[in-house]
Amino acid sequence: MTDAPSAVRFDAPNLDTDVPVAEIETTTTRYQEARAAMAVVAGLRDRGVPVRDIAVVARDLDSYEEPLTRAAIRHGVTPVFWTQIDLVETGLYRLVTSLCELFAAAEPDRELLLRPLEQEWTPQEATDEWPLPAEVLEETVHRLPQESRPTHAWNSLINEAAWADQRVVEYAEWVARDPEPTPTAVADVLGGVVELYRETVVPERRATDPPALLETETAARATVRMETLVEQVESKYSQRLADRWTDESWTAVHGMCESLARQRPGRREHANARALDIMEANDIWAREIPYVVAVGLVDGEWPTRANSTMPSELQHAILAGDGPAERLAPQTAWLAGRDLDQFHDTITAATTALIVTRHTHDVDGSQRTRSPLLDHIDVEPISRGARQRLLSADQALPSKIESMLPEETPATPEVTPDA
Amino acid sequence: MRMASELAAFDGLPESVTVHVSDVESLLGWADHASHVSTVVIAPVELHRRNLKLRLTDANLPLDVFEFVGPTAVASSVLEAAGKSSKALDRVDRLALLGDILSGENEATGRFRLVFGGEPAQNGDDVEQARRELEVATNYHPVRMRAFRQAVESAPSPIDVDAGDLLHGTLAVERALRRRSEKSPSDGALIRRATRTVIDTDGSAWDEAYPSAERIALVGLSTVPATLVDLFNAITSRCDVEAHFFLRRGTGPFLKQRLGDVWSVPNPGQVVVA
Repeated sequence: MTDAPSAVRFDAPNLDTDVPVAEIETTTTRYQEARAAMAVVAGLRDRGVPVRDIAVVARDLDSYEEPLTRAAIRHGVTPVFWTQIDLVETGLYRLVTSLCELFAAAEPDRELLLRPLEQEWTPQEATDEWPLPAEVLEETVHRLPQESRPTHAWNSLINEAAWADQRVVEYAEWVARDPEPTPTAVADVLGGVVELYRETVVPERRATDPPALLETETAARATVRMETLVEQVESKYSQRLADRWTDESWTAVHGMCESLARQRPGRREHANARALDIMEANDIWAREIPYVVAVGLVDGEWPTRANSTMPSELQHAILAGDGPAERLAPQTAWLAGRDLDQFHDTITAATTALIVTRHTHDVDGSQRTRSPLLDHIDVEPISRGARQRLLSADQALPSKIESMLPEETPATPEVTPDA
Repeated sequence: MRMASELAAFDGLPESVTVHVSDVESLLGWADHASHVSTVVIAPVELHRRNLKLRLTDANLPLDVFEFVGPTAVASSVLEAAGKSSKALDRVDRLALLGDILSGENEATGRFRLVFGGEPAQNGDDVEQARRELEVATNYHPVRMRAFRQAVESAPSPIDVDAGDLLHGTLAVERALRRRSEKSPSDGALIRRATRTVIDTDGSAWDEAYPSAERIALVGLSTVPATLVDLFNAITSRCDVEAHFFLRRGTGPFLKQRLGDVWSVPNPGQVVVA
């Protein structure tokens, strides 16, 4: 890349931080880094720091949600991700779209017919054990012919089969009603499915979920978003039909679910005071939290260059604002300005201590270097030995971090002593 | 004041505008018990509104004087107060309409085929991003469009040609969106309509929407889009309202020094797509 004709800078070269900063470099991937971050959280909790006084921050949660989730489970911490759930990856979304596909097909085959059951469809009035147990489903798959036929033909076939489980019979009857794709019917069918999922599947998840309750959390988040999505589908579908922009079909409904689910609107998830907040750096602006653990301080990750459709020469002319270009609003993300702001916001948010972490290698083995953002602040590096003890079975909080804790931290500050 | 604004006789920010860098505390300091909203805080990032409310409640401060909103909600209130439609296409509908436009053979598809390669209908997201970037930089205001064209023309060859295709393709798409949609085709277009409504009603649309507002604030951004600069310009030039920009610590000093230049255009909200 050619050098910029005149340098545009956002930043004062040195930054004063009001609180001490510790830096943990993990020598492998972000998975180990996430473990170190969660070990610090667990260590702080052990010292009596309430969970609401801690937050974990990443510039982009997409690449950290999974490693942090795994690490949280290891440490028995329940995380709350302040990010939109990727709806497309959830069971409830697959259930809803499998129903759209089933109703769209004139003559579904066995796989299409049974997919909603596989995705934990439940009936309006569940008398027996629902969702359908895996062995019943397996038996049904085994016994049914594979070939396509209309849903009413599937219904008679299943109804007459002596081997058929009563629940499968009930399902086949429901499917054979073949709801017309009118906006009202679509909202009724899909809205009903989401509601029943909340009433039946979510509590069932909770009963079998390990202590961190992650699957329950995910199922509950999915339900909240699907409710909104069904409302959006209903209004958009009615509007488009009125505008003659679409035809009345389950295929059109399916397409609309898909394009809506792929949008990630504003981040809003339900708060949970007993869980650890994990958020994106853009969302920490104006917060004050005693302990902030910032992950991913790696060049190319935080900061990273925002992609733009504008050629970089044009970006530069607008940023530099020489001549008439001074009237054009400069977009600082072109020069990683947003990432710089988010780093400042993260520093400012921490009122007692900031712990920054980074990894040195990607999963494919390529080297990752330290974020240049760290060059502007004074940090206490955590030694290799201290890091190893943190990641060992002892989970020993490094003494440098320990010394950042206030002198007299009561063992259990959430409980008021009697006397 | 009115004449000055129309003629853009001054450069820089008027007295009623204050730029803060990394100074949320002074915003929190406005908290008071009151029966009316005096401060409209525009926070485009939804969680930032929650964060400010948290800060206030944590400090035992009352929320009475504040209304925390997104920019489109403000634009809608202004338009509704003037009895105008406040409907806008959301992103999903806009992308669907864009896909429709880009699957035909027209100026936009001709240009974008040169810029992005392949079939433009496959590049709907890129086209939407180009539209956004041009809108943020110019708000399609004639003065800024002229400046943008000059910047394109003075780019070294062959970048000037590419950038020219991008500009003309984007303008063609914006025109097609406006022709094809009865609603405002984007949030930006909705805000521009609100901006013009404030000017055309000589401020009364704003005064009706927010009768007790003394201040309007914009918070939590790393880029101040021309769209919002023009809205703030219209409001402060027609109404007795102070404007406050709360910029962030990293980019704030840079943006502060540019804001006056971006601000100074005549007739904010005016649009030329030619």
